[in-house]
Amino acid sequence: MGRRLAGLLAGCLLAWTPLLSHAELRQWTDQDGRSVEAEYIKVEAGQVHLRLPDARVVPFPFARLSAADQEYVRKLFKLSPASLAAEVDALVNKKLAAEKVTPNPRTTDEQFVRRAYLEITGTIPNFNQTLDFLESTDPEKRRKLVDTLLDSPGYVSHSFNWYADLLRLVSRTNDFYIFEHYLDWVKESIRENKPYDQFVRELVTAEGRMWDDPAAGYFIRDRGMALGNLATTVTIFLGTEITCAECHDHPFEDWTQMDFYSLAAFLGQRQDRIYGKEWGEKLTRERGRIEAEQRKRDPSLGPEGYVQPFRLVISANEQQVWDDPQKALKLPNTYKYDDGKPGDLVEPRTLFGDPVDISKYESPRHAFAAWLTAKENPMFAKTAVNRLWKRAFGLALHEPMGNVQDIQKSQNPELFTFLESAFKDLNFNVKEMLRAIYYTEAWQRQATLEGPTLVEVEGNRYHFPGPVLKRMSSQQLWDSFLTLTLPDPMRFKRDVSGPLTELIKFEVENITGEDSVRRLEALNQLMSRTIYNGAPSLELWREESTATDTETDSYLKFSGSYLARASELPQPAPSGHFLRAWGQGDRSLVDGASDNGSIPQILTMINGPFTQMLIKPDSLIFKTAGGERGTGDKMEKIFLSILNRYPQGKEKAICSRAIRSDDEGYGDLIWALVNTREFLFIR
Amino acid sequence: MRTPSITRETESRRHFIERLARATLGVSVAGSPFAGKVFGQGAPAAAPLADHCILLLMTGGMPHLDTFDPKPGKTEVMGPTGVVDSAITGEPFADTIPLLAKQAGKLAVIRNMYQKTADHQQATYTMRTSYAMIPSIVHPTMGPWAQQLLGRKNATLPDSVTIGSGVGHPGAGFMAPEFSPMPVDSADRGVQNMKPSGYDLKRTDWIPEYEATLKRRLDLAAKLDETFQQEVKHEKVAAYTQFYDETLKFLRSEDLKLFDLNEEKDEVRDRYGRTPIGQGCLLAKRLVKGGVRFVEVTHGNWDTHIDNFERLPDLAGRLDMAASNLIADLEAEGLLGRTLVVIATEFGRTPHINGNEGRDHHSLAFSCVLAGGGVKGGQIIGKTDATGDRTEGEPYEPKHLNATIAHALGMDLNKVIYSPSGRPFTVSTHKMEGEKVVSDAGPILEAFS
Repeated sequence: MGRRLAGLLAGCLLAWTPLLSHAELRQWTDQDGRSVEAEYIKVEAGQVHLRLPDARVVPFPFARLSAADQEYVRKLFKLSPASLAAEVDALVNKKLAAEKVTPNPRTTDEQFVRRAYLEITGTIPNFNQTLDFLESTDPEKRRKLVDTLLDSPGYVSHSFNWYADLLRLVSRTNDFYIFEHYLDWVKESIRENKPYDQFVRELVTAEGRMWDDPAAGYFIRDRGMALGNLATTVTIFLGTEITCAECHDHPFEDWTQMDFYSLAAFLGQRQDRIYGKEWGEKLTRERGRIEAEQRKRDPSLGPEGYVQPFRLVISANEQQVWDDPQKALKLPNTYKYDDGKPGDLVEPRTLFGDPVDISKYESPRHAFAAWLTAKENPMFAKTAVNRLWKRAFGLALHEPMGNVQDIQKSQNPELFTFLESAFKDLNFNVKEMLRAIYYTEAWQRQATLEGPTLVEVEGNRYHFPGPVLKRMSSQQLWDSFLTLTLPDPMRFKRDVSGPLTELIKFEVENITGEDSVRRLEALNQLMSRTIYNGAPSLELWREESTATDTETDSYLKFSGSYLARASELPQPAPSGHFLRAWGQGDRSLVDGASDNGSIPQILTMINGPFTQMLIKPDSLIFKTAGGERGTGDKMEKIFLSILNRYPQGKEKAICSRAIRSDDEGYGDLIWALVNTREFLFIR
Repeated sequence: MRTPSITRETESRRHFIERLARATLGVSVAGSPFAGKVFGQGAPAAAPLADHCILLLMTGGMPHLDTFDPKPGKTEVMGPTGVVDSAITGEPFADTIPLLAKQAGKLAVIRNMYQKTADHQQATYTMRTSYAMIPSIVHPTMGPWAQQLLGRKNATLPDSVTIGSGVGHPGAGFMAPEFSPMPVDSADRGVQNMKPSGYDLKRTDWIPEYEATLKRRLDLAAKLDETFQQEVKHEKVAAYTQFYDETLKFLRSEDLKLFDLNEEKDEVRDRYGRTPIGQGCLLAKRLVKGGVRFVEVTHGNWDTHIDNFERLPDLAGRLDMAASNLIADLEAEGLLGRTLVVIATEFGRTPHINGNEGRDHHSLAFSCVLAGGGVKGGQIIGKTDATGDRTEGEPYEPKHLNATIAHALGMDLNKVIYSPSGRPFTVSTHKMEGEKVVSDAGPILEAFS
């Protein structure tokens, strides 16, 4: 039977469309009882598109499917990005109508292409990308662009910056406490679009060293501060603020110190490093042996020789997440409430939702992870969609995001509820949730030109007539500068965890003195190439380091800074870097990035080296301005490159009066355009 | 849940919204009427003793035995370090700091300092913020606290500046960015990008040409941005236009020269020592004189696990030269009376000398020093035991030292400031008294006359 239906469908080969990760290979049956194994792709014009095991995609009339299959398709159809977007638009528009607010006008194509690239891939589009979109006559071109961008490497880079701010990602916390594996794992999770609940579960349940289980970095990041790590976990994943309760009953919320400790008790056995008498003795013994071998190799080795630094390498090997069955959480010495005494053992208890039966899980920690990420957890999906909405619209449905107390006190409770259930139905598929949001008319409207005012935010009276006007983030600005300079800013990706593992991974009893010296030298070399560097040196800009004369090198450098996307630079960029001036946080604070202005920012724009980089004749913008493509003159191409729009007649007149038609004149124009507010803000 | 409450529920949100408003309105430019006025009000607790503070932070852990708390004659803990008489009778200093020893009449040496942690990062954090380091929040440092509680000191200059503090300075912590200290990575080079890249700055004739280029480009930018600025009348956009104006004002102002040590004579620069701490102290003096309230200068590399005694003369010598000239010049220029100078470190180093002729971390006893700004000089506060291992009596912690700075500058120690998520904090750590949040540490009052 299956064979016959498959034969019927064959020949109607269609183009591939993005696969929904929640679709599955299943048995389909038509009304005549014939069946076939296939995956659901989409519904279009009454036809259900199915992907056969041999990867062919074929349409089949919806009306001829069995009743059960029709029901299945209906459910999936509702979860298609177009359907979700329609529902979101309906809820936004309903609210706008009820409140008698006029929605903002639709973005022009020029505004849309700029926003889509910036918000999905983290940079302005380059000249060719801008022109491709503007010249396309495809009526579906906006959604097609969204699809393309969501599958581009830029999406991974931009999402990484978002997670970096949320998870406080750092490249290292000490000489050899290096988080490269963990950072790579975050990028890889984004690339494969790992379901959000699985991502969070892996963070919490990780075990081992970072090169064995990279998600261990989440806990090692906060080494020695297990309780603080928990408070942060609850803030970022459950939108609940319990931090004060670590030391005393929360002054403004209802959480008690006992609530805090009861939750922490689930994680009471988790450790961030190896310890114990046996381990300590082994270390002392092996360090002595390594030192003796090192001296044999080089008798002149002083006390500052290799021994001391290599101790740090050994320490890095101590970093490991594991559960010590001997440990259990006790109330602190300072505990002063009636429901317990200092030193009392604490029973694990969740903050809200259903009680958890620990015996059903591998460990209390796994029980905690399951409770945290369950669809039944009242806060998990809610907190996530609130954050995703803010990512797209610039203001969360509920502010502050770390303390979502009551969904009814949000900008649009009905919309909030819908998004929450949709995200669960999508099985926490982040990319599909974003796709649906980017498909909406609401997101494709122009940014609101005034406000939201204090009153609107506080009184929940911002009804999203369009996104909030945003300043480019530090990363968007830096990455856009690269887009203007380099043909392929994504060329340089950070990829050091492989060689790093080779050097740093060893069993302490198996390493020789010789080997320890070799590893340390190689490690230092690797780290000076990749981890320590990336700062623009504060030295004055040197003429010889131009944007293209080092193309043979594996990195391009300008004024001491590697010209790689912000996601590929050290996390965070070093103090003094362009990115830091523009508000990249130091990653000690959740959502620590800032879009506030400062004098040092403006100094980077008017005096700093990177504006000079743009106006060097070998930057991409100069090359495209002199290229064949496009109808207008150099000036028009410069406008299209920087502001992603054609110049108006008035502006042409200004330029022809003000600038000379030589490199210096066009340099002035480039300088001027990147120093406009129009460049800095996303309309 | 212990005490269900409805009224308190909105508290944290209200504070968040206040902060959001400030960000949205873009009111973080210099001289903003909001900074320290509308949102950070708080009358001084008492008449301030000082208007400025210069914090010299010795990072890595300055050995108290080899500086301000030597144990004469005890070679088993002193090693090769000797002592010199100080201006305080019967209280010698280590011979690594002879110039400061001569000035001891102006110093109050606190010898009973104590820290709960001997981890560099955590202890340095606590020294700068009073609070223990936790992942869920960053606490502000003293400069931002002063700006928050006392208001901005002047319209164009930053309120606080850090010199050579590098990565990991907590800065304004949870406070809004307008409270952030202006970072100067190297005193020699001043504010980053204060001079244009691409010009030969060794020649002197670049300024007119640069001015002409800058003006030409800025005029063009203004014209091309006209339509956008007319259509998008958003506060944030307006704020950036204001930032451009402020920056140009700053670039063309005399204030900028305060940051430029080239304005000093070579002889003066040599006197402080051509070292980061030396030039940092000189820059700090210039800034304070110009009106900056709080300057932190960092002097690193004190982590002498190895070869302590070989390295100490240089480390301490640089401090000695820099700090003694700073104090002398402040006094000569009539500024010392209103400027509190603090020498601090995250912890001391062990009396025990290890196998590498080094000293390891020691947080149970160490020394910090105060001068100027109402401080009664020529006194020793607290003491350590015979080997410098433990403090005698109740020790002082970083929170007390910071409370002392706050007190001298006239800050209200009990004034509660809320983080964006609505958590309450006071300048030198807090505790709950019933439902009330109050300060958990008072100033070291005996330091003042």
